[in-house]
Amino acid sequence: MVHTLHGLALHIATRHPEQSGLDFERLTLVSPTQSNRLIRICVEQWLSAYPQTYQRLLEGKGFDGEETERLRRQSVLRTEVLPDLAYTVIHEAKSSGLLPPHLWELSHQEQRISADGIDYGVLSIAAGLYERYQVLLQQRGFIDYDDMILAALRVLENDSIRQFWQSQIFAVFEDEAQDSSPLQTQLLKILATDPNNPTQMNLVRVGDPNQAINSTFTPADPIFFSEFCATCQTTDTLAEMDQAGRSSPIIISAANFLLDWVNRQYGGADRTRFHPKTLPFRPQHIHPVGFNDPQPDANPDPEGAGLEVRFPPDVYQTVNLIGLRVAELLGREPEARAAVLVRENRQGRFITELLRHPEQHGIEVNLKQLGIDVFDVGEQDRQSHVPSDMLTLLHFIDRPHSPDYLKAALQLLIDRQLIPAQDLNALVSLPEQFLYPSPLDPPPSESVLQARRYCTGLLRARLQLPPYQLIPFMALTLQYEQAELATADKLANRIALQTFGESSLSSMIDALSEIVRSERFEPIETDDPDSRYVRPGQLTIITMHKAKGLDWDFVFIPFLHEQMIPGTLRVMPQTQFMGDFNLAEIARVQIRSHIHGEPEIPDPQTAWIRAASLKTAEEYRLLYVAMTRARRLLWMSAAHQAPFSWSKPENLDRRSPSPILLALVKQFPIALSKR
Amino acid sequence: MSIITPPTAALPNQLLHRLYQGLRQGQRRMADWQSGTLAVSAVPGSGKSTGMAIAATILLAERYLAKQSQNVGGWEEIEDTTADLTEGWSLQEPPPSTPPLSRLPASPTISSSSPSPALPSPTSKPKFGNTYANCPYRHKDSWCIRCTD
Repeated sequence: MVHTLHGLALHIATRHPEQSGLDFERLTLVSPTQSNRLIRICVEQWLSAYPQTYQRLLEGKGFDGEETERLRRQSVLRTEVLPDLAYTVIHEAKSSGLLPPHLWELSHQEQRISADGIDYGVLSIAAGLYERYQVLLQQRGFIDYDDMILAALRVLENDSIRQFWQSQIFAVFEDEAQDSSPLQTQLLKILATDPNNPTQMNLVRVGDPNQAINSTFTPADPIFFSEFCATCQTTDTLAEMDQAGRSSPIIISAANFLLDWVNRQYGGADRTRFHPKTLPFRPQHIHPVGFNDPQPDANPDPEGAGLEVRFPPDVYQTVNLIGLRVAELLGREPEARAAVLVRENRQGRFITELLRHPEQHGIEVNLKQLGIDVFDVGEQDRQSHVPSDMLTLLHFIDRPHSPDYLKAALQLLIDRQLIPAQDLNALVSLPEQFLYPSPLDPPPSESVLQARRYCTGLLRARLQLPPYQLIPFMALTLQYEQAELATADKLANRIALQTFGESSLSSMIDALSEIVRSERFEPIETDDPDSRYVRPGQLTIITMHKAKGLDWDFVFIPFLHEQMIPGTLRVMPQTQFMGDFNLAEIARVQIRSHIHGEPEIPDPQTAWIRAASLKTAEEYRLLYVAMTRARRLLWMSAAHQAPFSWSKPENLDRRSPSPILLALVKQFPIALSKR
Repeated sequence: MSIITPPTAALPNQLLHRLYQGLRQGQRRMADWQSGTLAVSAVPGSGKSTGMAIAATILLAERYLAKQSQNVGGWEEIEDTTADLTEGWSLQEPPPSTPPLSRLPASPTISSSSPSPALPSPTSKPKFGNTYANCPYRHKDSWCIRCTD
């Protein structure tokens, strides 16, 4: 069976409600919005419970008691700093199996003197917030994702149940093991254990610590998989899959060079202090595949030099160079695939805008006229329409006589090109006559008849189908394509879970309204090799994070500035009154150091420096992931003039290139040669 | 109600042989895995997910075939024993007091003293017969999917 970790945990926990304490008659999965609301409440509760600590935070550095400054600081603490701290700590601690009492205990060991002498006691603030969050969660009958894993672990404490599940599972194969949290790993280890011989475990963990790119903003921590690898190495049960046929040899060399360079640069003398256990990269080189490899066209011949590095005058010229090169390459090979990988969505939006309106921005090529589609993945996500489509139709079948709801539903059917465009105002002014005409009404036109058929079909579904089947039915009615259907299914599941026990049309509408109103529902991406992201002959614009697992013939990575990669851990100007660090990052490092079994909790200053070096390491791993997406051409650039912030891309000033780019051209001078 | 249709004797082995021969060295470590813990550190583009899928297929198929060769009896018996591999999750309402179902026959363990650690050491009860003199697995069967000749 193939499971996600949470799916597996939920499966086990709901099978044994008495042991898990998970009773879905009573409990619902907390949605991100609800969770944010709870965090805000627990911050308010914490403020009134700890007025002195709050005061200390408020005064921070250089406070003269001025009233407007006090109000400003209050707002920053209540709405940014403390919610951020709570969010980070709750996830970090809970996914490692630490509960509030553990955190309290930990906070007593904390060395609380930071370099500038301000005594904040980050972990005790964190413990106080976490404690309140847990109480609120229970009072309101919510559980979160970590609770699912915890519940499954509780179930498995029972000997006979544990043995039952262990006997059901011969072995566990885990993919993307570098992204697992300690609690998830614990669950898999228990399940993989032989019930008759507790020392025997059938567990295969596959992963790549060098592609860990979520560890600085989620509880995923590659150190555990690295340790597992190290342990297995001593017993000769570590397999290295180090041959890869994806890329041309020079691209592989460039990726290996990056890895060595970063390890040398950042893993050297400071290693014992900041990274007691790991280097930024596991020192594992990629090797081309051997002769006679079954993969067709393994390690293909490069396009040109295979590696091109450019330093254009500004970011507009950068996009121009990309456009020209793409036009040339895809003109020659219309079936080839190309992508631009960006660090953040706003860069993607900038590139898309320029390439779609070339004449306005001095771009010398019009890709659209050449038949090359510019596909901006971020734009697709922004337009994620499935939840609101579903809500539109649910509103309609709930109250078909409402002209507004009817009109919205008809408009949707027109937008999906299911019925002909027509004057809807005429139809919706008399909904009853439109939907269920009497024999006396004048005969409608064919386009009205088509519209009526869809509408009455939907209304029949309401009467004949159980509520949880409505969304899949409506998705089919709208003739969604594969990815949209999968997204609709995911949405239906989530709503079924949220409305469990009181499944009705109105409860579904409530749950869906909340999703549409307040948060982004991540759509499903198809795994289909022809999927939208890697379609031949188009230029895909995608973030480096999203690109993981995909590849293209030609990969462009622009805007590689020092400020971006490696970048720095920025302290927002508005929070600088507390000192030059971020409480959430400090707490994360402190909690992790405990989980990693370090003898003492680092003081805030040390923790902050360590957080910065973790961030540096992760940024370089992200670049490594991006570079290894390329099959035949890897094109990288840093413009002399670039914006400080991509929310204002027109404000250009001088920016230094990322140091790795300079090192790369020194090592591979061919990368600079013009063809 | 097994979803596996009775294969002819040669066919699955040919298929497995072809799958196995198409694997790279690192992927074979996964396909050779029989029990215990295994860490696989995979570089980008190395065929991690493909390798895992094929390794799991080979593992399940080999255990199935091994079981088949032991149960010369009717298909029903075989289906019963494979049920916990293929459909373990779908069992209805497991009573917590159920005694643990016995596992499939003990599998060979990877011996650290073996010359090549990737290779399972010979089992007292060979899974497959024997025609290949050079079979590194000392299999005594013409079915060995790991032999290249």
